[in-house]
Amino acid sequence: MTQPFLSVRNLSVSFGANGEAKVVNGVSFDLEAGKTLCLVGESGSGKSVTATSLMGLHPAKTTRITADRMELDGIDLLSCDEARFAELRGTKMAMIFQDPMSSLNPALTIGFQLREAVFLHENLSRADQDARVLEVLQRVRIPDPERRMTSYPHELSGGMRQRVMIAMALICRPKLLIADEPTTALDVTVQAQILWLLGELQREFGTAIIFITHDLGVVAEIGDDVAVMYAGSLVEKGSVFDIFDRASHGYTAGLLSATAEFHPGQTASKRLVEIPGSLPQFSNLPQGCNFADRCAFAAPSCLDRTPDWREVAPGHVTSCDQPVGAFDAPKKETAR
Amino acid sequence: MSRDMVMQTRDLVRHFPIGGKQKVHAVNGVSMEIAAGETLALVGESGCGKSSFARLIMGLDRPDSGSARLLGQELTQLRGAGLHAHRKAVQMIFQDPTSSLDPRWTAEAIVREPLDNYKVGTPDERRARVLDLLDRVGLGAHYAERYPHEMSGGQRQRLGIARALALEPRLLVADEPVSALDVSIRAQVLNLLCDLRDEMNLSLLFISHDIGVVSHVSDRVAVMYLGRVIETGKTFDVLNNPKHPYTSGLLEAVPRPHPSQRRERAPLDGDPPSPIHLPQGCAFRDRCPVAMEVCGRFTPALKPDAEGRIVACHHANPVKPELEPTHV
Ligand SMILES: Nc1ncnc2c1ncn2[C@@H]1O[C@H](COP(=O)(O)OP(=O)(O)OP(=O)(O)O)[C@@H](O)[C@H]1O
Ligand SMILES: Nc1ncnc2c1ncn2[C@@H]1O[C@H](COP(=O)(O)OP(=O)(O)OP(=O)(O)O)[C@@H](O)[C@H]1O
Ligand SMILES: [Mg+2]
Ligand SMILES: [Mg+2]
Repeated sequence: MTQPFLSVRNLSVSFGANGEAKVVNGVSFDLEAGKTLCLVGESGSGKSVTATSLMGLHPAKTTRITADRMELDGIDLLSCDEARFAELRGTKMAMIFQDPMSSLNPALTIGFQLREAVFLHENLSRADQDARVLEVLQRVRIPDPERRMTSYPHELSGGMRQRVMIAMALICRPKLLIADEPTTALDVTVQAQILWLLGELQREFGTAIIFITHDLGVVAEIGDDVAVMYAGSLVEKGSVFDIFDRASHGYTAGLLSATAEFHPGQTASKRLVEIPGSLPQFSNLPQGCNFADRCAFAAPSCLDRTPDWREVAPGHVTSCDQPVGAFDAPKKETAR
Repeated sequence: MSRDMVMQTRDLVRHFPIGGKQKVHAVNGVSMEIAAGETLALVGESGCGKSSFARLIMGLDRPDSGSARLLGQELTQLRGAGLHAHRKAVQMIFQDPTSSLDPRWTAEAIVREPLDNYKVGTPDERRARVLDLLDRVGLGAHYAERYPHEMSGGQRQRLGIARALALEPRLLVADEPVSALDVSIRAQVLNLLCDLRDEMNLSLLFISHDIGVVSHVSDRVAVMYLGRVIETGKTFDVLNNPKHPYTSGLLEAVPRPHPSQRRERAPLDGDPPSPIHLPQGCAFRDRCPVAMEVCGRFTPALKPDAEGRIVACHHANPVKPELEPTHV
């Protein structure tokens, strides 16, 4: 069997001098070239920390990263030092963030920042740099790109800024793109444009994408595989159809039923299904299953026993002791 | 219309000067109504003027022209004491519960502040009312002594709701009230908001990007584009049978809830025009798949079409050149 393009086994991340705060706990997944893995879960569940660990973006002094394996295209990321990571970012991998304004320098033109991104990694003449920048701006469908190269970030709309960020991430044709909630701050029309664009670029360049989001609608739209995180751990992983049709962890089922969806032709019910309670503190994780006290399906034993990983179907795994029969997503209309 | 209108605006305009004689045309003649107990959802692309409109009817900003009546009172004529009283009847919930709550105050102090401000009842009565409000939003009495940072995002947003309801407003303006919350907590807060609305017969102006949420909570929808309302009507009608091409594009862009329903076409392309240099004619025409020559000449008026649906589009309401005034 060939090695997957990206392979992560048992990744844990803790912060603090003595590793007091373990915020990612034993995360494992694989990703093939040209595929999209969606990473979903509650705010604070460790999605961004997982991603930034892969990118080598944590200062080594205050962060402890351990894993059994962390490999990208045959490169052992665990043995990379900061210089090697800096080289990989922009050539092999790139990341886009939720807020493009904080990642763009407000005092420099778009063209300057994009040229800098090319120049950092490739030795091109000024004319070739400009040509590459123009090409990539056209690729992300910035209208009037020659003029936009001389614009400053604040002169662009939010959607255009995010397209510039994508252009910057793509300029060196990375093999792995990590997109951390790139559309959360945008409205649905701009979001749809960005998702469509990412899909096109992926088909063209065979990029593997890790897409971090809260939004299950976005997952349904673009995901090949889905990994669900809760309180620092993966709780369920499978194909997008496994997750939407056969969710077998109580948290996944809760997320699916709590989402307010618009169904054409149907009168929406007034009440939404709730997941009671809130995410536990990392410093004070409950005994047994982390989600048990909020779970609509919990048995008494869930409160005592840490659940095992189970494969409920090929490629579909869950850390739940009661997955049998897969949860029928609770009815949308159920009252409190 | 015989129902009591809690809010009614006519041709409300707000242009922000930005130096060099230039202006951001944020609100370009908005006419809108909300009846007692009704929930109106306001949707539209980022930057189309939703929050600017909300600030106008909150009395936090003044329009350049047009009228806004709240509970029968002309807002633009209110000053001093009148404005103070108005602000009591119209309350707001903000998108980000963290930045809108004073971190140095306890939950009790936060909810009590508006009651103190308006000198409602005796201090003992105020305290009892605060505890009652906290209870109604699902925060028990033991939360009274907590500070915002000792609460989760959902609890903070419920605290914001308790504060907004303290003065028993008639109209609640909620600007993206749940978009900063996790999916799991969003449903808790939305259900609570709808319960309280029904119990207190509140009117609600609900600003949101999330069409799923809008379909659940609102009675009517108004769709804005570049500072104007371009379509309005019953939520079910607008979402299931949109009349304006922009509304169709917006609905097209909503992610499908299941992976088997992925779209096969690219969504609505392009960007809205600059709000600094308003285009002549219909603001949507550059992106419109069915734009006609006339769309570049006349701005379509918002009015009922043959079916009685209210829409600003030359397709719905064809121009009769001999009847139209020649100015735009
Ligand atoms: N540098 C750091 N030092 C200490 N703790 C951190 C650091 N960065 C993140 N954390 C903590 O790690 C946990 C996971 O954070 P992370 O940003 O990965 O969450 P997330 O799943 O991306 O959430 P969100 O959806 O809100 O972005 C949080 O509790 C966060 O406070
Ligand atoms: N004080 C101000 N001065 C100048 N321009 C402003 C001011 N406030 C808002 N604007 C501009 O007015 C327009 C409308 O902004 P507004 O915040 O009302 O949009 P919105 O529909 O609420 O957008 P979003 O969905 O992103 O919240 C935007 O172009 C904005 O940049
Ligand atoms: Mg994050
Ligand atoms: Mg706004």
